[in-house]
Amino acid sequence: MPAALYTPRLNNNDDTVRFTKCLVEPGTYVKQGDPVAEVETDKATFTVEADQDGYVLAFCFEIDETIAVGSVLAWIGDSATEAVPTAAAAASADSSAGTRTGTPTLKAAILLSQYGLAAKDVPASAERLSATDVENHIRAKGLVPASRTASVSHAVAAPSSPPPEPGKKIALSPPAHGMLRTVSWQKSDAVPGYLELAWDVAPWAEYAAAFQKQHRLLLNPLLPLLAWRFARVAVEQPLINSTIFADQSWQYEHVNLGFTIQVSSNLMVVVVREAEKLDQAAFVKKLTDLQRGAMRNSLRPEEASGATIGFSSMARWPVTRHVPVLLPHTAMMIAHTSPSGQNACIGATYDHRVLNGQDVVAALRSLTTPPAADEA
Amino acid sequence: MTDPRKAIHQKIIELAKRLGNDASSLGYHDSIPDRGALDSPGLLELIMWFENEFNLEIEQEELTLENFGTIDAMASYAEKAGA
Repeated sequence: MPAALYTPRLNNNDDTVRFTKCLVEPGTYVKQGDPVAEVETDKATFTVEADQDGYVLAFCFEIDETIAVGSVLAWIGDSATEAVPTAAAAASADSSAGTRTGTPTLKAAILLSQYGLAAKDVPASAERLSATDVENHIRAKGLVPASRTASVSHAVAAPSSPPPEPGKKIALSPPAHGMLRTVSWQKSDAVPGYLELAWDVAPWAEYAAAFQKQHRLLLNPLLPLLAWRFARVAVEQPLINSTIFADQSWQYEHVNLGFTIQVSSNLMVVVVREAEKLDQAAFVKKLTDLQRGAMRNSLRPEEASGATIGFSSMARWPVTRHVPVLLPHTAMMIAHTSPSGQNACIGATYDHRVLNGQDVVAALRSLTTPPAADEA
Repeated sequence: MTDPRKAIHQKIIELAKRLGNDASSLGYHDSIPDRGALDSPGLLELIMWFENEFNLEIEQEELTLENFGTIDAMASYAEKAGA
């Protein structure tokens, strides 16, 4: 039986949105979290993502049509040949969606956004969905703030005026959409700072060379080992592995290390989950697996989302300084660069709401020292 | 059959060029990582191409210097794998 993909609410004041773009053709197989369509209001554009794996069977509206929030936007089925439900079934689906939840209050909408929830996912105790309803649902499900799933957290504020010179619109690819959402998070939700330290790369280079020889590795393990060390530093300094949520500190349970990689011309982030549980060899293997998975386009959604700390290197180009953008809901992103002659520096972008310069300097100092033998 | 070493060398030259490096003088016995023409992501791209070119699926445990450290080693690996 096909499942309905509902039209999301972008803000509390607009009961309709304009359907602007199909991002996949009917018949395309999508995974949960894949971009499917774009809708917009006067204030924001929004990428609607698949809420489950399956084949997009059909869109229920034409481009540029104005559609009601909560109506069925598209159908997703288990096979590409499944019959699309009739208009009556769609109306019934809309109606049942309407009875499950009420329109969220502003506070509830903010909470839904922060947790990547849709209003239809949360039972309402009264005519309108309240913040208490959402909080109860979050507690019951043990949820944490999310950066995936269709929600208003992915809404990107539309510029107030069009570009001043003539040009044409060109659709963004899904990876470009992902990057747009990431940088938009930092712009609106973090207070980024950046600092860097000079460091002596020789001890780490020697350490990585010995590791490579010991494990007979083809690939230089320096960056994975630095990333592993950073995950350990995040355990030693838990503030690094936290964020701010609703004016309180949110301490993550696990260290999920996001590592930026380039695949063709796209920048991607792969995530080593529960990195604190991995020893060096397991971490290096996992990160290499993820990189190969990204190149094969076979990553599962959880392998490319949910980072709690970040690591980025532009040494290959060879860049001597770069200031990376923080990954959503993270407080620190390592900026590794290429040594220039005898001089090398390592830096970090950090969320100044969470960390101060002293915290970051302490973390970088720990990171630049290779682990002792008993730490490996 | 075309010598696989030529195709491998050609791919290394192509990947190295993207990084601003020249791998044209890389010999079949030279260590690819030691020559520095390709970094780790570049080597991974080379392995991806190698798998497609020779219709192989390589386990990570097989990604060793012995198997893929030189053009000769890569060609031998493909031959042993029956590609």
